[in-house]
Amino acid sequence: MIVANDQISSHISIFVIITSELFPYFAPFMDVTVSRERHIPCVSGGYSNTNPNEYANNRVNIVGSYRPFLLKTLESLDISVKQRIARLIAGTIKLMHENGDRTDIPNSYGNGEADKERCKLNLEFWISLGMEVDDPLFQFFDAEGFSFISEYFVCFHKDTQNDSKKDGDETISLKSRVLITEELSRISKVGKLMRRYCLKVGDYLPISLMIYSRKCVSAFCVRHSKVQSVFSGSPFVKHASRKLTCAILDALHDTESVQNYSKLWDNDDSFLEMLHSMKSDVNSHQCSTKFASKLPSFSKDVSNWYTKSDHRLCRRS
Amino acid sequence: MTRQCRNFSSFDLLMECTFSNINLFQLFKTLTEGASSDLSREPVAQLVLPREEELVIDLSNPGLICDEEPVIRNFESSCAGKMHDMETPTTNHCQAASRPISFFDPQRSALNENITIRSISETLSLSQLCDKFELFTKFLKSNSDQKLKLQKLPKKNRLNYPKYTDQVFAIALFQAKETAAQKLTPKNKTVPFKAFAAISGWMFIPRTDESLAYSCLDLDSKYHGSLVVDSEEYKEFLEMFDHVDIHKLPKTCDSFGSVPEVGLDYIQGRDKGNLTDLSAELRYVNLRLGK
Repeated sequence: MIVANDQISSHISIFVIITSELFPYFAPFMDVTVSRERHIPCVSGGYSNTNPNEYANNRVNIVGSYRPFLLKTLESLDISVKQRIARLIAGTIKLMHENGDRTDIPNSYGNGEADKERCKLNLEFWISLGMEVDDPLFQFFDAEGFSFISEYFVCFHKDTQNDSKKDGDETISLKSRVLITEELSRISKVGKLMRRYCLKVGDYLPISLMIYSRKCVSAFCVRHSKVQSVFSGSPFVKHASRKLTCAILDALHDTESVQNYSKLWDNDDSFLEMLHSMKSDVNSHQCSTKFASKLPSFSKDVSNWYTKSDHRLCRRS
Repeated sequence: MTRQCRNFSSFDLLMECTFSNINLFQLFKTLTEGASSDLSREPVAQLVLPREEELVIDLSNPGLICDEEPVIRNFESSCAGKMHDMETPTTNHCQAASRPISFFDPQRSALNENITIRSISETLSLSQLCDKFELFTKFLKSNSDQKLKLQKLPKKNRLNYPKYTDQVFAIALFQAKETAAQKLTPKNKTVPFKAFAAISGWMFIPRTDESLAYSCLDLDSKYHGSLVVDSEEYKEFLEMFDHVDIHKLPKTCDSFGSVPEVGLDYIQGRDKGNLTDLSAELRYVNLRLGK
């Protein structure tokens, strides 16, 4: 569907105005540390799995797999501001799709397990931005991550967190500009930006809304669908060991079980304390094993340690 | 096994699997396949990490596996040997572009009129390519910290300071070919080298004051970043990629445009003046929430 030029222009104008209106709200959250070595101030939202503090709450099996979780950077924003961000994202995607040669609706997922899970995650993201489930704009909300970024001197890089699967990696950008006023210049982060880029009051600061897909979401959905296939006795899983595999999966997904050694690392200090106390046990020949102070991994060492100290651990916990 | 499977502890079950020759690998593959990112802490996941998709050079000369210097074709990009300069389209061109435009299809594209076409070298020896790769690696290293670049600039003199509109946004274009030529690739050539060799062109998007929306495919594998036009870095960049095509989007365009071969769609707003006024009027003081 191709819309008329006037309509395109007016849509873009509205989106650009919305972005400039929203800027003062998210500007205080802009941080160069988020973008690491790139030193480009930005603020991001959406799915991630890079915050270790969230692992404990999003663990899906005892060998250390995590569900992607939503960033809480903009959580403290007023709900109406978040709603406008959601509408801006969905509106931008809608605009691109209405003008392109694509006829499919972005969020029209199939019946596959992975598709259903992805839709569920998208909906969760949508609701976290204060939107209603039955809002018609949701069908265009095909976003798993977004950033507001001031794209001055973006160095050469690849968007490695994007979903690289075919048709999945589409980055959408809406470039806007914000007039720097006296009021805006008093926001410390904006002042920093102005000094860095030699801008003054009355200049324009380019701000882009970037919309991404996320690899962690896609990977989780694929894995989820495969595990569900085994659980549901899918005819595609024909291996003779299916019943046993099913039983093992069942056990591995019991994240509350005492055998879930990953959860011992949720509180590093208490676990280190426990390890030190076990060291004395080793000396007294009560437990002949070794331990490591590194992060949990399904390695031989950990298995060995786990095997021999199983009963003691249960008792202590 | 004397116990019921479901009463086993997970570790017991794993041990049973190991000793009874159960396909444990398949189990873990099921558990972890596709989960490369969130299992990065787990050695188990590393067993089944999907391999990075290799970009393949279209090498037509089998001499590559010998010590001879083969001739590497210019990857047969869709418009090989041509440079498309569309930096300054006329107003008429813009007004005529009311439907998707392909820059590579003169029949469809109104913007293709008056395009300057410059022939460039179609062939490049392997040693030349290696030299360019080395330069590109150095370029990326020096380019990785924009802070350094900014410090070198005369910050006090605002007139000399590069503005946002002095820049272009460059996106690497690939022409990946899945052919038997992959076997001819020297073993000592790394994935980054192959990725570099597969770059068939660059798309330059000029930074303008106007609003712009665009969507681009596969930015996870395409290098993209800023260049200050007419800077030393820019000249260095152009010299480094004088063997591939450079495509430039117009600075002004009032409508929707599409570059299918690149996977780029873009929309530029029309009424620049009105937009400026509106932006000024609707500063955050006049914020209308929820509308």
